[in-house]
Amino acid sequence: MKISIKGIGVLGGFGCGIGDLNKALITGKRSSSTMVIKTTGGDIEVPAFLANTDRLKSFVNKRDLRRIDHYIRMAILGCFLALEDADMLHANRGKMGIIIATGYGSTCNTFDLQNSVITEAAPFCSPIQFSNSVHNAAATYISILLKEVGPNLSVSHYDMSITSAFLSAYQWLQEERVESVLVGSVDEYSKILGYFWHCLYNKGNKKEGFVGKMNPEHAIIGEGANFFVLARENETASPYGFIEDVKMGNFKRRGINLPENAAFFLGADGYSECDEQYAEYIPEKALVASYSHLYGGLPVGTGFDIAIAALSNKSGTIFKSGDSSIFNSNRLNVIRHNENLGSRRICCLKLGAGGSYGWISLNQ
Amino acid sequence: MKPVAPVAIAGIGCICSAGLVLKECTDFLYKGKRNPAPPVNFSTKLTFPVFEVLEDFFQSSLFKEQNILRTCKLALTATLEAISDAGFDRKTLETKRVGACIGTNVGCSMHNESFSNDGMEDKTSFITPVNRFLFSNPTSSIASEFKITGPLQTVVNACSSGSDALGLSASWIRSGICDIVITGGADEMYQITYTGFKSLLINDDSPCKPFDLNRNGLNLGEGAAIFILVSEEIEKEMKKGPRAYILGYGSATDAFHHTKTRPDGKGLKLAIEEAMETSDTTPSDIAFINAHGTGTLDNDLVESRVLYEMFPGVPFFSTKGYTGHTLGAAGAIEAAFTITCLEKGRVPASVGFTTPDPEMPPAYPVKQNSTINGNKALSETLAFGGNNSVLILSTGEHQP
Repeated sequence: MKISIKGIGVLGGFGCGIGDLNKALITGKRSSSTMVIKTTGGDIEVPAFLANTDRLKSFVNKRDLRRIDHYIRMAILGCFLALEDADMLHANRGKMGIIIATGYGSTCNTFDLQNSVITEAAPFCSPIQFSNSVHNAAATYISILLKEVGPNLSVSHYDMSITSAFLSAYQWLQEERVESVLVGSVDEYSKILGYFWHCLYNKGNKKEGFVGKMNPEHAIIGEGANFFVLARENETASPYGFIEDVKMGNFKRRGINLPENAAFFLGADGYSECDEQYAEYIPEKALVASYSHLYGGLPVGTGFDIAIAALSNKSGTIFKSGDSSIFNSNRLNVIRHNENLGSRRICCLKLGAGGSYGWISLNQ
Repeated sequence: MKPVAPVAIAGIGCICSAGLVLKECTDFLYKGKRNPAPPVNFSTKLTFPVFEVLEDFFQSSLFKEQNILRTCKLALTATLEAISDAGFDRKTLETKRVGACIGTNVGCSMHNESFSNDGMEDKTSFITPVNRFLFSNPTSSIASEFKITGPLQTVVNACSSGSDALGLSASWIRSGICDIVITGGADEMYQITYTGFKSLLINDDSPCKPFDLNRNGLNLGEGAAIFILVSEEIEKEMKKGPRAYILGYGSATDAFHHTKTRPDGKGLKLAIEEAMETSDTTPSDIAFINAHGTGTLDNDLVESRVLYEMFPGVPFFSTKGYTGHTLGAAGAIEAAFTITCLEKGRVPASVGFTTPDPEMPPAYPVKQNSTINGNKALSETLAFGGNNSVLILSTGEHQP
């Protein structure tokens, strides 16, 4: 069965909307911010790719946004952008499912909440902060704003979150449970993650993390959202192409069967010790690329790779890769310049924690 | 939705305050007793009662996974029971295409760790809890412990997570991507949810009273229930046959409010309709309903109205008076109880219910342990975010 991509909504360090992502792919431009984390030992500076949600005001009135934190705003904006791109924002959408993936969840809100309960002398908890900390809060706001009463699923499985979300989307469409699925993912920057980056990569921390092993510039923390409107393939042309297959497994225990005649978009963002193992599993001389230099390191980064793959299908071009410390291997044929996609499919591959892997293949 | 093929349940494991294994839990339901008390597993100045697992339940010698969350320990304990109940061993799991899909809430939160600015001083002690948070949800723990090679998914649909995990896993079997799926729900009690529910003013300071006129909120609980789902091929290989079947599953959303149930029950009705259609059953096929029945004002009112409208005369009850609301585990634990009640041909009294609420329609939960006829039942779960999830279950050939 073929699943067509009818619309895409993305926001992150590269900008807001599929147009901004396309521009970033062509120009390589993105802008990181410097976040300052105050500690009793002094200030720490951490680079991060942040997402701007100003455009949300054009979709949702201010009153409806007053209790919504940045994490949820990113998810809502991603959804509205995807529906707008699919020309389904105001249309009768039929029975639509919603699936939202997150690796971390609403971390800023959750950590504030936890600190208020655990560290304060009297346990205090804001009811709004508590209800927004529940992992399906973003999916809830989206269903309410869109008035969608269909199946609604939230998943959180660290770096396999987005693949498992696509697996369920694929199954819902295959079973004809729904006519379309709004599926995507969101993750945010928080000072905890900033400090985690500092511990992993700061050159002063000789005993910690990935220092000396991975390139810290490659692993800048990212945040953002990526959403897709998927539907069963029909006669309508699908400019972004279609989702061909979704696979998950464990490469350490049983290897990986990868699709043939594919270019591989690797989810090597510097946060997994498995990053260095891509070269062992990719077919020799297969074209590979990594785009985390545009969106940063975050568990749901594969969602951006899927969006980039869809743009490649639309334009017939595979965009030049960013640089990565994993590209030292001679086995990898890195896409250094924009190339014609030809008849290739694109496989977005993520090697994750504990040897887990997930891949999603797209074709024209 | 068209009818779908039943999916066999080869084994079940369960742990909660009512017992450390499924049989113990089920036997407890028929005793009509309960002992909620203020929590002892964490310190708090609040004193409303909960249903904790007080025993030192985790047999560490049986598992290689040790530095894991309590939620994972609950999940692993129930998984080992489920595998044994199915007649499988670890080797069976290593040679098949096995997936894991577990519902949870707390299992995906970094908790019991304070990350104040002062905490950001000691780098060595910082990375460990962050890594534990990132890599140890119950699905990952099960995958690592039992060397699983198939798809993994952690469902975080608030209180319907456990039943949604079961419904989604059944699809994995039907579509042929797995031979076996380890699925269910797990959640521990901890300070944040304890305090959070209090802030929403939906905690009862006394033992909860689902569907009763004087109900005043829920009591929290903790636990896990794990199911081993198998493909038709594996089912045929099983000498004793499957224990039960998932016949159908439905889910829908209220699109109404974060923490309140939609008054017209639209989401719940849609979920029930989908579950009935996929299982090709009618209300007259349903022997009983294991309701969500939290003991909160809104939930019980809406649920009783929907059940009265859609299943007139069908007996229903809530088991939350015996176990507390186990959040992400609730749907799975209650699905396990639904199956054991079918096996026994008896349903337990809906503890806490004594006085009918005149605002509710004249449909009341069972007041005493009762005999039932039939081999199909419905288990329903409602959740924060307006999620509604419904399972239709039946007994199998093998009954322990």
